[in-house]
Formats: sequence, C-alpha cells, structure tokens
Amino acid sequence: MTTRLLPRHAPFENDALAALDQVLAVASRVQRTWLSDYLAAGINLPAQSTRDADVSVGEVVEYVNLNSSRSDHSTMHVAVAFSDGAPPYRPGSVLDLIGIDGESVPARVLPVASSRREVVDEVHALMPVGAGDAAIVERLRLGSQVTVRIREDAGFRLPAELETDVIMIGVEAGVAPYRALIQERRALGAGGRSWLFFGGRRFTHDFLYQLEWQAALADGSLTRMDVAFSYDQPERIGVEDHLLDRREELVEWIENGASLSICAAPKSANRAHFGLLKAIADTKACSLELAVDHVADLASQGRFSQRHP
Amino acid sequence: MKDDRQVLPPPSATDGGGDLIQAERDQLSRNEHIKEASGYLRGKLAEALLMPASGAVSEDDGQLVKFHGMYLQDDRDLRPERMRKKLDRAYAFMIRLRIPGGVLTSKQWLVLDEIARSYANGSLRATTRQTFQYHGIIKSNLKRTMKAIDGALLDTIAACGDVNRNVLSASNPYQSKAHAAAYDLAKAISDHLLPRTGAWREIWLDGEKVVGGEDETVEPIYGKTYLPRKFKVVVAVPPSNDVDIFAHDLGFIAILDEAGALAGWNVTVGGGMGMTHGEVDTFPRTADVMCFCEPGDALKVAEAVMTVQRDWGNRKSRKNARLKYTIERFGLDAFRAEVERRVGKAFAEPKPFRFENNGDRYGWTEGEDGRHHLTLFIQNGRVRDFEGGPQLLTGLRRIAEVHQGEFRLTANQNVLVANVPVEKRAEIEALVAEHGLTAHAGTLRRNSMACVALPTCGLALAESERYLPTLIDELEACLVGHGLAGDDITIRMTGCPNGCARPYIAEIGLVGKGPERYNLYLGAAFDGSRLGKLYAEDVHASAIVATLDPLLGAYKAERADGERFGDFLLRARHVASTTNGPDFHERTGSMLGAAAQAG
Ligand code: HEM
Ligand code: SF4
Repeated sequence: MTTRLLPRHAPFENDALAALDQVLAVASRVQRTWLSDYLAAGINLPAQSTRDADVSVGEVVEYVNLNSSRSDHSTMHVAVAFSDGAPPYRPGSVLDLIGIDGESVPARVLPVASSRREVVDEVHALMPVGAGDAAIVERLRLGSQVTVRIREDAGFRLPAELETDVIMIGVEAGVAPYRALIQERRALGAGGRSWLFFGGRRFTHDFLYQLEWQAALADGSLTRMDVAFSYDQPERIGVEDHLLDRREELVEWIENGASLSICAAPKSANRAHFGLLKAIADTKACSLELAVDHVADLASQGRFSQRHP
Repeated sequence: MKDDRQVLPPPSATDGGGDLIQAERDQLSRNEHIKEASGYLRGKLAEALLMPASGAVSEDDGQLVKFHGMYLQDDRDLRPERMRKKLDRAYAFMIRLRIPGGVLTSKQWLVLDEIARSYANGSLRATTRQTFQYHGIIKSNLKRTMKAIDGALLDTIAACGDVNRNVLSASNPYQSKAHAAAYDLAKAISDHLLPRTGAWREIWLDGEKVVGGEDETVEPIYGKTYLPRKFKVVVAVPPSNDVDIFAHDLGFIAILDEAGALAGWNVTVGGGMGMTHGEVDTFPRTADVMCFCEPGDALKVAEAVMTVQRDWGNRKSRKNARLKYTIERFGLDAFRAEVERRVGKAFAEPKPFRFENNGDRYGWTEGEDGRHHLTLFIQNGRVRDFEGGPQLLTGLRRIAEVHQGEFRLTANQNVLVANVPVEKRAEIEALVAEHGLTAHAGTLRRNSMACVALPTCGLALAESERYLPTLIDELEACLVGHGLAGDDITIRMTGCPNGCARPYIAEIGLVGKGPERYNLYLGAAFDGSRLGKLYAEDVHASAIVATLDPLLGAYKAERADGERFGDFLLRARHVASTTNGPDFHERTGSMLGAAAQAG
C-alpha cells in the first residue's frame, strides 16, 4: 500500500511503440520510404560492411566499466592500441571483436567510440554487457591481445562536413559514435554546432563519459546537451521527452540544415524516433504521417540515420 | 576584553556590509562578498539548474544554496572509482526543511514520506534541531522536491546559511500550557525573522521574479548581507532541557508563576558548539543567562539580539563570527545594554529555574488535557526501513495514515506521535509492534546521538552515524559488566569538530579527528548546562572502550547517591571542569595521569 500525493508529470505517451506502429500502418508513402524498410527489417545492424576490412591484432590498454558500482548495468569501455598504427576508421564505424589472446570468440559487434584524430594509435569501443557476454567479459582484461576487424556501417551515416550542424540522439552505449564524432570535430576544428541528447537509467550511476561531455561543453566542441534518465524520478523520462520539449529549436536546427541520427537499442530507438516525429508534427502543425515523410526525405538526403549500438 | 571594543555602527543600520570603507571591505570574508553580489540570494542558481551535464553548482552558488536550505554534497564512498570511470563526483543535495518547533500534521508527514521514497535516498533524517533532512536529491529533482514540499505547506528557507535557522521548542508536551506558549513563541520568532527575499519561490517554484527594491523593503531586518554567521534560537520548558538551550545563540526559558501560567522568559545568549581542531581561539561555549523578559517583549528581544549580532558580529573571519565570540569580545554587559537600548527598556535579572536532563522521555506520556503522546526512539534520527530491523519509514507512514493528531520531531533526533485520543492508543500500539518501532534499545543507546558525517557530509573527518551504533554495542556490554546497564549516561559523536550532534555537552563526547580517530571529551553535565573537557586525544576507535572502562568502573564503585557520570568525573578529579568556553582548551587530558606525572 503506497500513498500517492505528489503531482505526477504527464508521461510522454502511454506507449510510444504502439503509437509508432499505428502511424506506420496508415502512412501513405511509408512502404516506399527508407524508414519503413529500416523499421520493417527488424532494425538489426547491417551485417555486411562496405568492404571487407582487414583483421588486426592489438592490446587492450584500458578496460573499465563506465557505470558506477551502484548501477545494475555494465558498459565496458575498451581501448585497444596497435603497435603499428590503428587501422583506418571514422566516426560511426563498428568493431568486430573476434578473438582474445589468440583464441576466437563468438563475434561481438561493438560501436566505435573514438576518433583516430584524437586517439591516434588506438580505437575505443563500448561493450554493453548482456546476458550472453559472460565468456567475453571473463576473458577480456587489461593487456589482452585482441583480434578485431574495424569496418564502416553502411546504414549509419554521420556527416563528415564540418560546417554542418549535428543533432545526436544516443541512449546508453548508443552514445559511442557521438563521442567519436565530437572527438573528430574537435580535432578538425568543426564550425558547425552540435547537440547531444543522451539517455540512460540514472544520472549518478549511468552517465557514460560524463566528465568528457562536461569538458566538451566547456571547450565548445559540444554546443548543447540534454540528458534524460529514466529511473531518476517516478515517471519514466526518455530522450523522446526532451526532443518534444525542445521541438521548436529542434525543427529550427533541422530547417537550418542540421543532420540527425539516433543510436539506441530497439525499444529506445523507436521511442526516440517517435519523439522526433511528434516534435516535427507538433511544430509544423502537420500530421504524424507527414512527419514520417519529412524524416524519410532527410534520410534520402543522407541527413538522417538510425541504428543500434 | 572591553578595551578592544570597536566603534559601534549606527543601531539602525540594516546592512552590515553597506557603509564600509574600501579598506575594511577588502578584509571581509569571501562569503560576505558572495552574499552582497547575490541579489538577495539568487546568484546564478537558476542558470545552474539548466546545465544538465553537471550535478553540481558553482562554488559561490554552493554557499548560496545553504540559505535555501540545502548543501551540495557528494557520495564520498564513491569518490575513488568515479574518475577512473570518467564520471564526475556523485553530487547530490542535502535538503533540510524548516519546521518551527518540529510540528507536522499527518498529512504533511505523508508527503514528506513520499518525497523520501521518490526523490531522496529512501530515508528521512530527523536532525538534532527538530527538522528533517533529505539526502541524495540530484539536481534535476530539486525543483520537483521543492514543489512537493511547498505543496505540503512547508519550505526550506533559511534552514541553513547565515540567517536565523529553524527555531526549536520544547517537545515534551506533558505540561501542555507552558508547552503551547513555547511553541507559539518559537513559531512567532520563526515567522518574524524569516528572510523576505522572493528568491526561494522564484528559483524553485518558478515564481514571478520581483526585481529591484530597496534593502529596507526587500530584507527589512537582514539587509543584503544577512548575518555574519548562522543564528540559532530555541525555547525551553523546565525541567526538561531537551532543546539543549546552552548550545544555542539565543534561548528562552519558560518561567511559570505559582498558578502554572507563563510569567515570562529567561533569555540566554551566546551558546554554540563549532570549533576547529588545533585553533584555541575557536571553542564551544555554553550560553549565558542574560535577563528575564515579559511575554510581550520576547519577540522584540529576539529581533534585537539578532540585529546586534548582525551589526557587531565578525564579518572578517567566519571562524569567529558566531554570537558566542561577539559576546566574548564585547562582554555580556555591553551586549545586554545594547539589546536593552534597541528594545527600549531595561530588563529584570533572570529568575530561578532548574533543568534535570536534556533527553527525551520515551514511551507514552499523558498531557494535562488527557491527550496521549508517544515518543519513539529513532537511532541517529534515521527514519528508514532497516533490513531485518525496524521498519521505521513504513511503520510511521502507517501511523500517519490513521493518526489524526500531529507529529513532533525532538531535538534528540526522535519522533513523537502527539495528541492521540485514548481510544486510538491501541491501534497505534499495534502498528508500533507490527513494524518493530520500539525494538530493544538499551539505556545508553537511547541517550545517544550521532551526526550524519560519512558518506554525505563533506566536512567529516571520521565516521559517525554509521559507526556509533557499533561502538554502543561494545560499550553496552562493558556497562553490563559494571552493573551500569540501566544508568542514563549521555553519549554523542560527530565526524568533525563542528559539533552538529552537540558532543561537547554530552557526558561522553566523541569528535572525529581523522579516519577511525576521535577526541574524547568527558565531564559534561547530564542536563546540558556544562561543557566537557578533552580527556584523550586521537583515540583509535578500537581503544575507546578500553579508555572508558576504568572510568565506568570507578563511577560504579565510588559515585555518590544519584551522582551523574559527568559530575562524578569532575568530583573525583579525572578531568578538569570547563566554565563556559574560553577555558575549554585549558587543563586538558586526564587529571589523574597529570597528577601522577607531576608527583
Ligand atoms: C561550523 C559549524 C558547522 C558546520 C559547517 C556544519 C555543517 C553541517 C553540514 C554540512 C551538515 C550536513 C551533513 C549531512 O547531512 O550530510 C550538517 C548537519 C547538521 N548540523 Fe551542522 N554544522 C555546523 C555546526 C552545527 C551545530 C553546532 C549544530 C547544532 C547545534 C548543527 C546542527 C546540525 C544538524 C541538526 C544537522 C543535521 C544532521 C544531524 O542531526 O546530525 N550544526 N551540518
Ligand atoms: S559534525 Fe561535522 S561531520 Fe558531523 S554532520 Fe556536522 S559538519 Fe558533518
């Protein structure tokens, strides 16, 4: 028996996922859009790379769980150093972990979290630890020799143009490509603005790379940041709530030419996606169907992409 | 003392920092500049709330948030791992309520309980000054918490900071009439001396911003630099000194006439606990009983004492800024004369009074009006559900759901379920039993208090709340051995010399010096009227029981009839006595040891 006396903030939407399904079901052009293909495909990482990358072996030089010891999540930050230079990669790339200390492991696809322009001979990646990861977690340690393949993700485009504004929506380990992008843009002196929406469970225990975002905000390499932590308050707050709250400015950025991307696990990604659609629909006073079309247009111009970490 | 009297500022000055020449201004403590520049406590707080990547506020704003009833803290247990994990310190806020006299309705209790479960760390912390604190409220939840507190018709204004703090009132309502008068006075003082700035509503409740305005209209009593330091007021009803009147800046002692009606108040001034290790010009001090005033003058006296301190208090060194140092510097006579001048009349000499103790009466008591009151012991004031132990949070919530009367927080970190009609007693007793609210606590434990200290308090040098219960386990075993298990002895521990749990006026006082190291103070009076004396320095936690054991043995063997432990240690010359403060650091150590050495 619990009393409820405090006012409750209206939650974002009862069930963003169901609502999204509904929108897609009635959207007129939806079958022809990139978006529907993407969603209908079950949103898995595109298995194939643009080219078959070479396999390299490097040494684990940093291996740390970024979540606090009070978190019920673990997200390993893995830094691998290569004695003769890191293989080429760029923000948005992924890393396949295929062997540890000479023994092969079931391949694990990790989002890259660094820019070569900043970490030079290294590559950093994030590994959210799930139920099936026991084998890897047990064997991986500081000093491990790891066999990896680093490749591009054809379905996920982060803008290379430095003057472009970027809106980055990342939940939990989905923030990895944005760390890479911000490092890259800082190193190259990007002129465009950047806006990061980050979502996680708890501010105190799950704020991945918190100190680095603070530094990026301070040195200007990150223009703006909004954070949503779903377990910090009785009502669930996600990045979608912030997208909606900031909708006027968000649409202004988009109309100004900003490029957007979402990187999050399926459920969160869909919520974020729906938040984006609703933000657009509300601001432009149009239907959700038209907002879907709008995002599809952005995608076809290479200004919107979405994937899972 | 009186030679170095400074020229008194004009008595009407409303702004302690306003009329200073530049050279004097340069010497003011940093906090004085922060206050002055803050625009009546606004600072950059509103902006800081909009910076989501950080859980903190700036250093200057960190000083200002105190006036709003909060402290910026971080979980010190987590410090070592955070940097490695690329995480900022685990910042969160402690929020302290302003609850004059510690009186809450059941409805308010239920809201406070829900805030504890929704935004804080699942506990309500009853403090030594009749209020509750929350710990672990992160920045993004501050506004929600404040709105919820406001919804319960409560606030946190001036719960910390250089202002008049929460006003205490005797919480044992067995003498109902005098008790009601004490509460009324506490409430009136609290209202009258409340800062008037709109900053709190504006920042936390998104209230309308009222800009500008003359000092006289914004803060007619404080001016824009408020007080030199915190200012603490209590109202006591003898024979109970449960509010620890001698530890406070200003106190009122109820004096009753033969018919039991209120004749007036004895006024006490200049008590305070905080000091700094190794700095002998800082010391705890017991208050002086200054004068007697009639009921109708009490509020004027309170304002005058506070404004004299506002104008005379030291604004250059915060370590010497409390009223206790002002009185040491100017002398009680000069201070009293100025208060009388401001009130516009001379006061009578204090009337006789007698205190018996500074603790609470546990269990049920019956008031003059036939209402029943239940005082529950809350270890270190921590109201939460303990795994395998008392379900304090749930149990008290269940009581609040059926209780029509009120709750009172005591100055001993305990909770009183007040004004229970006799026919409701059984129902409440059943809830008390069901949730283990009176689970066995020995006599020493019931006379114990500890401050919060680690992991939240940034000033803690040693453990306190988390350690005292274990130490008491051991000490109680020792007391059983001496046949003293049923004797009331007060024991208090703090994590640093600031003395939030008032350790210097406990018969056994332990004050953190460093990790697992404590200074041991002995010889204070059971009724809270006399300070203890440093008996042993830097005692390792593991040696505390062994240090006390022979003294307890001697007490059992040699004490006079009804003699208290603290009094015995003085009479038997184990420790020297402290008069009221300035001699606190003199003749320290074990007297017997010193005598043996000299001989
Ligand atoms: C220089 C002096 C002092 C400073 C800087 C200071 C500071 C603090 C801080 C930071 C806390 C918060 C600890 C936490 O909750 O984590 C605290 C708690 C508290 N302080 Fe103080 N304090 C001082 C002296 C005192 C004194 C002398 C008293 C009482 C007469 C007092 C009463 C309290 C109370 C009631 C609490 C709440 C926790 C408890 O009951 O133990 N403080 N203080
Ligand atoms: S006595 Fe010191 S350690 Fe304890 S709460 Fe007060 S300031 Fe913190």
